[in-house]
Amino acid sequence: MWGQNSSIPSCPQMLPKAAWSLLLRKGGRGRRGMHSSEGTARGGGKTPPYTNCYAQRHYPMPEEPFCTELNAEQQALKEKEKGSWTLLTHAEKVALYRLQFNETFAEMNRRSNEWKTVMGYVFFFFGFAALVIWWQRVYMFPPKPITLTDEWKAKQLQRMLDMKVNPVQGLASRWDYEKKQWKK
Amino acid sequence: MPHPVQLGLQDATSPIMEELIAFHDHAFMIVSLISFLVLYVLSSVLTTKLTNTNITDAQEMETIWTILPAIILILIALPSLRILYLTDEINNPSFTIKSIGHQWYWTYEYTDYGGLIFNSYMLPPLFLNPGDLRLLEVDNRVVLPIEAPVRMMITSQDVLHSWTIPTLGLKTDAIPGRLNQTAFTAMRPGVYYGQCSEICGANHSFMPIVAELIPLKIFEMGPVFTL
Repeated sequence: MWGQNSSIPSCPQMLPKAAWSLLLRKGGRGRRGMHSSEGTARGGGKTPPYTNCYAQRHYPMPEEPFCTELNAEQQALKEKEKGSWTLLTHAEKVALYRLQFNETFAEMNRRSNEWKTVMGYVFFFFGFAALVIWWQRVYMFPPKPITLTDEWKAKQLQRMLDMKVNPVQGLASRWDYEKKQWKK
Repeated sequence: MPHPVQLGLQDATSPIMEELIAFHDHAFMIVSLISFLVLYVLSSVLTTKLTNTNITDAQEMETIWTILPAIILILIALPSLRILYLTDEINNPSFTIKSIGHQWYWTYEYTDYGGLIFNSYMLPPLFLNPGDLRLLEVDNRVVLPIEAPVRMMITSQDVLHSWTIPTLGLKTDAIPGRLNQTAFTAMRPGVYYGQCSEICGANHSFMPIVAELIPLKIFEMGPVFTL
């Protein structure tokens, strides 16, 4: 995809773990003393396997370049990079970017369809809970007390209005005693 | 008593309760502002595109978010303490009533001018008249005068109870072996309900308090003092 034809994997994600650690140790960049000053700007002097070469949303500037084992063509490109950058073609700039980073910002920040799965599970459990509650209503709940019938509630409300319950800002303040209706 | 779908406090019947309602509004506003601020900060932290994981110092911000809550707490504490001391003021009560909690009823003693003592049991649902309030009505109500300072002496005969009437701003524990005092001055006549507010056994929810407040002239006529 980037113009490389070699069958040797040059990017770390394709290497097995043992070879990966060998590679890093050979590169010499992984071994940093805890007190070395050159390491601090890059994340505080971490040793493998805690150095990272993958950019993440919360830490988009990785310490290691993505591809550290370069074939001859890529090494020639790296040499060219040491000169003036205006001499690089667009394709070469893209190739250099791909050597340094595994994903672009757009690729790294891409959305996913995970939310659909999550909402599916949520609604499923809502439905299940609704079924449980319905079953309880049919088979378990006792009969309602007599005071919850409409007739009783009407008499109760009339009694509360006669008692002028909460006349300042509550119930009785919303009833018009002259016109015998709720205030508009 | 509460009305359906009531969200806030019941309307005040005594001046102390008016103070408490005002304080509640004040504290609620402060709490709402803080909550909205936190919600805003949380949402902006979660949706920002800026990511810097190397910040280690934030001295100015830390100073502000230490001093500002202290100031807010003082602003809440000052009105609160004022009301606390208001409730303890000497108000020269004209009348003293004793309220004794039992499992699971109240006993009221009017011993100032006579010797009236009676029990107050909750009316079971079968004994209610149509339109009565379930779990709130009692057989004998506490009859009291309005616009006169009343002193309540509250104690218990067995376990802890609590004598409560929210609209008067009263809640006092009934502790066996101890006399607690509370005082109030009611401003409006009416029937006011409350419920026992300290867990006291199986029928803790079924020992309500009902105060019937009548004009002083009618109270003076003396029907309450006959034995």
